[in-house]
Amino acid sequence: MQPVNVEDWPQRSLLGVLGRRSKEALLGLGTPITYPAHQRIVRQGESARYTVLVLAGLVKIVVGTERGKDVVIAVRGSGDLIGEMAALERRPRSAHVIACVPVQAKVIHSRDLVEFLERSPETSLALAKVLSGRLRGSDRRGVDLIAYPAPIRIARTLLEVTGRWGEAPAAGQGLAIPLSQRDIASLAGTGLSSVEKAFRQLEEGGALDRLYRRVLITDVDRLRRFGELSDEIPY
Amino acid sequence: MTVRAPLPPDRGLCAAVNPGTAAGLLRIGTGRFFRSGDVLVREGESTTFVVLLLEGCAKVTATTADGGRALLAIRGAGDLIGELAGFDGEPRSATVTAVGRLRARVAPRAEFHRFLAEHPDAAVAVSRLMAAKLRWSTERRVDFSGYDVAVRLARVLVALVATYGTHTARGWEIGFPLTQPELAALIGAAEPTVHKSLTELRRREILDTGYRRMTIVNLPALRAAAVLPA
Repeated sequence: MQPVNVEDWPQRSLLGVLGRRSKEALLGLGTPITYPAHQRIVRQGESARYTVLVLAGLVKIVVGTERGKDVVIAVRGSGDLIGEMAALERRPRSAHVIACVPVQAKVIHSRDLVEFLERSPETSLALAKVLSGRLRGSDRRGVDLIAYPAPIRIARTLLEVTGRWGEAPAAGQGLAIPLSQRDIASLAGTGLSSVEKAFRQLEEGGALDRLYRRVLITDVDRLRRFGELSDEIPY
Repeated sequence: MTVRAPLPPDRGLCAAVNPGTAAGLLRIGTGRFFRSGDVLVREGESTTFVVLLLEGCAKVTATTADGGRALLAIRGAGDLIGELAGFDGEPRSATVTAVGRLRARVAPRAEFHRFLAEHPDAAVAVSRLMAAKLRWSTERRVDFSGYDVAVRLARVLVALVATYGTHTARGWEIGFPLTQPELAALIGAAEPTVHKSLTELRRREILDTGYRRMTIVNLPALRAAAVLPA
């Protein structure tokens, strides 16, 4: 795992939005922790006494339903604060949070977070901005579910996830899709077989390639066309 | 003769803050009336004003590529509308339209943010209300993937009662003028299927409906139909 001395946090993450001083102060809170891949970080239904600030790696937010079918509703990565609303409101956790890959993070006790937010109105405002982005994203996903068929939803999900968290294993080769096909299917609200079919079609169309034992998006423009997206839409 | 000021909404932002802050909210910006069908906020615009709904209801919709409209949410008295743009500077993500007559305060972003800076209880409340909107949005998506239409309908009715229900002699009244097509749009289902499910709920005496009125007569039974604990 890479050391976490980054200056560049993803721009839609909390650390990406904060100014230097608040960012350094926030990074000074909490206890360092690492989670292996597939470890459950937060359990749905538990009382929330802490938040997790992700420094490196990727996590998925999964809602368990009464009928046993789990739904991946979001992905979060470095710079993101997880579960802060449940912790601030002392509500039970509304979802599971599971590490997709090894994760480096800080665990911050709710009490410390509340005190920090009271000292730092800039951070409260930044949190509101991040929350706005999440709400917009959730609604956009909701519209896609009703408005578009599976292949387009899959393409859009791949674009968003790869665009935000895809790593380039080697320059010019493309961006690695950071989630399993099963998780892509859940996030896109489709069946696994639809994702398998879409991957084959994308590979035949030259937008996807398998390299270095990873699956890469090698042609973003082609993927955008697959997702029926024009330039204006921010995926 | 003195005219008494209307009471503040007993839910939403006004109910989540101190009385002094609530009084301030009722004076924020400008008082406005909207008629049925008036657009409060339009998708794609770069405006940043905020609307605090005092009386009446509104629909939140977004356009789909084929020109259709998706019904994302409902807003009622006490709800805040349009606060996202003021925080993140992005264009409006949805259109908000008045359903019936509406009374509201409309405040420019700068004045609203100044108010939040001066009233920390309001700042916290706004974050909580945004988190509640995110929970609603997420629930609709999870329901869509996980449950059939009958269950989704029951679940959305349970959610509407929890947020907007008032207890009357008849039961829990969703004082919300939602038509059958709107209900179908809200859960992303075809209207005939929703009609069938509503008929079934009426037959089982779980639900009683009138013109733009819905009363949950048997809430435990509705929760069971929604695959929720009693």
